[in-house]
Amino acid sequence: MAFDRRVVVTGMGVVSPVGTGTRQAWEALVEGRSGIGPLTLFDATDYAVRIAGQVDGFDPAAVFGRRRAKHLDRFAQFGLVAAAEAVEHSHLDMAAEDAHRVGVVFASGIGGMGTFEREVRVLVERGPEWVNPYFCPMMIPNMAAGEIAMAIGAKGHNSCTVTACAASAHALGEGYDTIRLGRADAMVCGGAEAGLVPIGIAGFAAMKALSTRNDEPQRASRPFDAGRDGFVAAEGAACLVLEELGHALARGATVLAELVGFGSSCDAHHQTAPHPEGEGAIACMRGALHEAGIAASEVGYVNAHGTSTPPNDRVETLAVKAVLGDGVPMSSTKSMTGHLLGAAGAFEAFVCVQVLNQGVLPPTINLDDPDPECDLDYVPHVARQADVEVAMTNSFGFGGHNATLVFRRP
Amino acid sequence: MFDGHGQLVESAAMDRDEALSRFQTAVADVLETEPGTITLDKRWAEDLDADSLAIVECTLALNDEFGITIPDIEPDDVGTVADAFDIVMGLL
Repeated sequence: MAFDRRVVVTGMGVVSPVGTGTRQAWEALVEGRSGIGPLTLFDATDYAVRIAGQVDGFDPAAVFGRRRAKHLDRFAQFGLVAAAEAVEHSHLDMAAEDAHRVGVVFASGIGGMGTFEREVRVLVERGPEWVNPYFCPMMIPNMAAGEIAMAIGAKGHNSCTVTACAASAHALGEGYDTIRLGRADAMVCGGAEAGLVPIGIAGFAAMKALSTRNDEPQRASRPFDAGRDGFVAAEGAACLVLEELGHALARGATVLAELVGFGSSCDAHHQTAPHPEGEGAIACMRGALHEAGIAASEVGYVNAHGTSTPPNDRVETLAVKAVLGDGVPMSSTKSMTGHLLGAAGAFEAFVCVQVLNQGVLPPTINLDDPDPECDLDYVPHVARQADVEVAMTNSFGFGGHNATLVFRRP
Repeated sequence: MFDGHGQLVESAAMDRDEALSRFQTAVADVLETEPGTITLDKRWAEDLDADSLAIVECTLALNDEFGITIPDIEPDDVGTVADAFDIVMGLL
């Protein structure tokens, strides 16, 4: 079967700790501004981890009205805001589209964890008859996808990928495949996460996966640095409008980038630890490049998964060197945003598209003392001008899930 | 309401107006609107945009407010605010 349908990006939207809206977020990334701060969404006094990448100043009642906001978990609220920006940016006019040819794949690693926690408290403290009737629809991870479809009237393929921290990279991959297969002409894809609730922080902290650099929040996420001690949990959403090239050109859309390759693999090794030699990550990147028909030497920038956990950054470095050699610049914007978990892949796809269009590589901040085992060019501290034709982003999730996306400048 | 000796106990009987006021406040809180809009003639679906889940949510709020247990009801049986208020009054 020939896959001659090409897939392009025509719109983007983000909600993140470094800003809501692509312009604000991009400015922060280029300036090397951290979005990490004290965790204030709940009283974290007794928690080992008291820092996070919060979306501050988000007023759901102002956006959705009080009644509607009450029936949307925070992750779905973020997803709707990011999708609205992306669709508006793309100028996709649903009144002019065949609604059945426009779909949504919107990921979440966890879904409505805040809703889940609140209603479990109700169940335990008051009893089953007091559980809110909106509990199930608010909590399920696919509800952002359902809500976005309702908001824009998209009646085509609709689903939700749940592959932990690779979830929204897989959402973009699935959207890309859907268009290539001819099942849709436009796909609204991305992911949302809002897990900064007591059980979420306690759970990740119990794994010792989170940084405990509580006294220096902005220095806590330090990918590839010898002093890194875990990731910083963050929240937010990101969305890209993917479109078949001919469809985009026919309606006069601005093409921001072409999505040329999607790699997907599994380590099949351990629940949470990466394969020690990066076998799954290597296969994933190679698969994406093969599909794109792009030589390793053509990749001009990699947005790393770069979580700031000791194992990830070491193994990812090994894997990237095995596939791309040691000359490619690779930065981790998680040094500034923290880890958006299920929204990270789409957010970092947004970063790649911006790199292609703006000619600037956002830095890896806090890289004061590089780990000797992390010896690539991570664009330390400050952004750098660079004319990039091809950009790659990696996402790796608990469960051994790997996803790689390759974008080319139009 | 009478006590064990057949004497009318005024203080225990809930005044209908007071009950309605509390009913309106509880429902308005769920529907994120003003209590004054929850008038007896309003239809749940058409006028208050309350679907079956919203009606269940209102039921929980009313159970909480009045310390009652409203039995399972079909949304069709409570077309208007008055229908629901009658059920609540019957349980007080």
